Amino acid sequence: MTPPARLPLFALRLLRRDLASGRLLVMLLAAVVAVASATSINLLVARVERVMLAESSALLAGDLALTSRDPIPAATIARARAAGLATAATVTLRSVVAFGDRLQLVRLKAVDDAYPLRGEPLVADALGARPRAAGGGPEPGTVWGDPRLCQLLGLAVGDTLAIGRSELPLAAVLVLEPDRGGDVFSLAPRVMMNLTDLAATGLIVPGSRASYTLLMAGPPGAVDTFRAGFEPAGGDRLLDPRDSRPEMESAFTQAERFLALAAFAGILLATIGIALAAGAYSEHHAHTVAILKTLGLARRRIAGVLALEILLLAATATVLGDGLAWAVHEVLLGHLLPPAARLDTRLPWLPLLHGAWVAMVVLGGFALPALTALTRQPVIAILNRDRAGIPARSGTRVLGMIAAVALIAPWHTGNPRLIALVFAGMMGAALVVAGVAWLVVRALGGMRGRTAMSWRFGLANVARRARLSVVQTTAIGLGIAVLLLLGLVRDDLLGQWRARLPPRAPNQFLINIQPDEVAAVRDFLAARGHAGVEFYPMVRGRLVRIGTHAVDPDAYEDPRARRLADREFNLSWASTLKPDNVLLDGRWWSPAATGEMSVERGLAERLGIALGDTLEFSVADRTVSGVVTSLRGVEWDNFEVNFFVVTTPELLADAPATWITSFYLPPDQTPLLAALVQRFPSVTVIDVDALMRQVRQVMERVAGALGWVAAFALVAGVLVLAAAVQASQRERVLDVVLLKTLGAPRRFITTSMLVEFVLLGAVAGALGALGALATGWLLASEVFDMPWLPDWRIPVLGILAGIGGVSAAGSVVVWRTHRQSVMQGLRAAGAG
Amino acid sequence: MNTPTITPSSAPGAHLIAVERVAKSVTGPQGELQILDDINFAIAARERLAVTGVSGSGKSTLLGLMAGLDTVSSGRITLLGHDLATLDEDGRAALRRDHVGFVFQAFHLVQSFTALENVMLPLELKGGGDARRVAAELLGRVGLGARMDHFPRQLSGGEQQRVALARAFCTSPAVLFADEPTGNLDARTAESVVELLFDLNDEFGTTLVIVTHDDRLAGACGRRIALDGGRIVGAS
Repeated sequence: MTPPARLPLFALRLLRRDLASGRLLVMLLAAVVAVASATSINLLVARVERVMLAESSALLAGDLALTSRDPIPAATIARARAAGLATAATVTLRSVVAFGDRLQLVRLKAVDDAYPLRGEPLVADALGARPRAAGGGPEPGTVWGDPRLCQLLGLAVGDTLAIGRSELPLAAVLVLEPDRGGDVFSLAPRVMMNLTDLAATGLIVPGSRASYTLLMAGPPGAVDTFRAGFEPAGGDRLLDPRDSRPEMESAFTQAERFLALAAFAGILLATIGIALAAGAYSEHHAHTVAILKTLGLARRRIAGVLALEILLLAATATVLGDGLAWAVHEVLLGHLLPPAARLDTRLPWLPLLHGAWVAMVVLGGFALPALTALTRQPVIAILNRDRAGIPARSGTRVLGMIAAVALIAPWHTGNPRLIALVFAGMMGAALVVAGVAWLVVRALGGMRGRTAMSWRFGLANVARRARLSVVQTTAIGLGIAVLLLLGLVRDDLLGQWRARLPPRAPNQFLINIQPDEVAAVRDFLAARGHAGVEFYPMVRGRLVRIGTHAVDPDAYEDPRARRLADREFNLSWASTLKPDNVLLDGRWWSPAATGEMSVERGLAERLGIALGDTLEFSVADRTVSGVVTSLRGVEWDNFEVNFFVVTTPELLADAPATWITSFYLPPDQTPLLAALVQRFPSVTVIDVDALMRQVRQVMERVAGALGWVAAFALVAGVLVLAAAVQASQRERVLDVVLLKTLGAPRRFITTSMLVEFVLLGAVAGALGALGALATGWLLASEVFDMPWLPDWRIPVLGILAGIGGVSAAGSVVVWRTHRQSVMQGLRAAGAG
Repeated sequence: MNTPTITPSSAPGAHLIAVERVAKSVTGPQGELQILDDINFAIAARERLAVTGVSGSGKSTLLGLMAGLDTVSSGRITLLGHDLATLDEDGRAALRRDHVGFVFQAFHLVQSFTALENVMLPLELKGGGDARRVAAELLGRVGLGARMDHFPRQLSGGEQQRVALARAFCTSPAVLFADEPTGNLDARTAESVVELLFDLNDEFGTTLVIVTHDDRLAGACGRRIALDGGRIVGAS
């Protein structure tokens, strides 16, 4: 008996010999690709997430923001700095400013010299002038005012504004304030000043309603440490970038979903390749096991040797795969990521360690069950396997594979539900594909008697290798399903997401339109090429009661819910449902209905509003109440005018309302705005072009990242094909050689092989396409919250991809066989 | 089938196979390896020739060269009057299809075909005639009439070799190459297979070239060439 101490050496020698003979090469390559795919995608996702987080941080002006009604304690600032975070302070309050004899209520923000920690304000030297990035806030002794303030007061750069006891010159027009957050539509114009000037204004006195913000930024580890160990005092809020702006939150969440899906797609593909290679690997080891058993090595020892070989193989695959991933990632970074992200050169250990985990799990889960099953076989059964066949123990193997995939699935990418759905969808698809493939293979076998010789040969091959044909069809079908799904997500779901913000999406909002001005504003716009613009009534109201419960903002744990309960809503009334809204629950009211309300689903979920609840709003000096009869889905990221709460017309008919509209204004038509403001002085223009650019930037970045991830998946897909054809290569070579020996010309051989490849590819492609469509529907409806518009070209694409892919991969084998002499072929196939 | 039919071009009475100064070498990791060197002999029609020698002596390589399965490094082989070096791969394939039969040690049946389909294969490749009927008759002739629809994996080694014999003779080949035809069989089965091989050989008037270790089989052939180290070391 071999002493245990020699087993590692024996395993090492086995690995070396297996690698040198080339038989283990496919298995190693598949493992390397699995590791490289998983690691590259994880590196990419981690880096892109970091970049997107950085961009979102710019929208918060920091990585974290602590807001309070009271000045931020010095101890808190010291604690943040001790954690390695840079800090900046802002104070925001409502105040009245004066220009000449005109007064205006504004939202005043005082910022210190460190502001902003992330992002940059955009300012212009005159109203309507081209914006430029300002490095920080206003210089001491100056202020910036937004375009609305300039419009309302007739203010120009250089004019002096009275703020409290101070008089400060307007140094620039504030076009975009990075941390303006969800307040784009707040009515008060904005003024920004230097914090050092605030005390002199005398606006901060005991009892002032000011909001104090401590902005913090630093390395991810420091941010996480501070966030984990800091508990905001009652009423204070600690915000991270995701809370900064509803449109950005939506963009960020969608981006994360897309990348998580792409990551999983790549991993799934790689594991399919491993599964196929593992079959050939265990087949190759059958004889070694039989010989070791014949020579008297105990079963347990053999299992130990094989496990050790797998471990060594995993280590090799990790080093090669991680190295490859890192190299590719470094190349990718040059194209994909902005310069800021490229500066971050820290080695991301987690994705690299995850690569090792992937190698262990896929090789362990996919190859070990098959190998250990070999050790349980009687020697004679293995040696005579051509005639007797080895019991498959498919159940154990399939369970091992499912467990392996579940273990390496990217649950960590932040959307377990998405991963679970894709996992379930693909497992279901695998079952269906395998079942249908089995039926098709049997049916094809029955057809062979009625076909020409070359076809019969191809059909007979499909039928003979029934089990392998089913495995190959399932693997290729799944591979195609994953690739198509990725394509669908990229082109369709991502397309739909981007379509919500088309190039001509409304970029100008007109608010404060008085009821008697609506017709005139409509005519004004129509005369300048903007006909058909919709106008909506808008009433400000605060939610005071849900059912029998008075609304208490502090009763909500979710910070967003607290904020929503604490603020005034823009309510509207309508007779019909807006075309871009979706009725999700309940029913829309009839023209004669009264006392009904429709609530946006997100608001209903956050504030705990259900169908049938009576809502009470405080509107001006009276109370408006109605019953919730429907819940609506609203796409907030499309920049259309939308409302959280819509009522039947009579409920708000007497409330003080202004009207709002939105339209797209091409950049060359900005003079229209000046004419509009001149003609309708009370109308306020809000330019959201800059904000839309930021959202579009996130979308484009995600699209770019998905493109690269899809390319990785495609490479993995090609390897799946190669592994699938490789699995039957020996038999195929033997068939070709035999046909040549019997005098079959090349054309006959090529035709018969093509018949097999085309049939396998077509069935796999068709089934894969259906799997992709089904999973796409599941994702669209359950995760991405989008209407599912199936593209029926997908099955055609799937079939063509299947035929093309399998034929191309198979042709390589045939081509290789054609290149060598018949004798060489016979010997290479181990038969000569 | 678009491959041209190759007809024997030799005059009656001429040698069916002529091997002239043939050498074969391959280049491997350890450098060039000489497998055959200066091989010269000829085989007349209907002759039975046994090529013998120890493992590695080059006998299977020689058989492959004579059948056009591989190409010579130098020298010339003429099969049925055709210099094999002048034919391309499809040309050599057509020559085999129309005039050559094979029997291998490892049987080499198409695993996805039944016994009947395996025997039909060369007939269908050649085209013309009722392949099914001819194949069924031959399978009956080799004693497998009842097992025509069985797949190779359902047959014993002896039965598989009988199918291979039926496949080899079904096109009435001018020459049959057999590479260790009894190498995978027990003595008793081997004896019956050899008996069948010679019977069919007589029946079809085929020229027979057998590569074998088996002295009894070699002795039963009319002529013997012994190889050692890639050279002819004896002939009788």
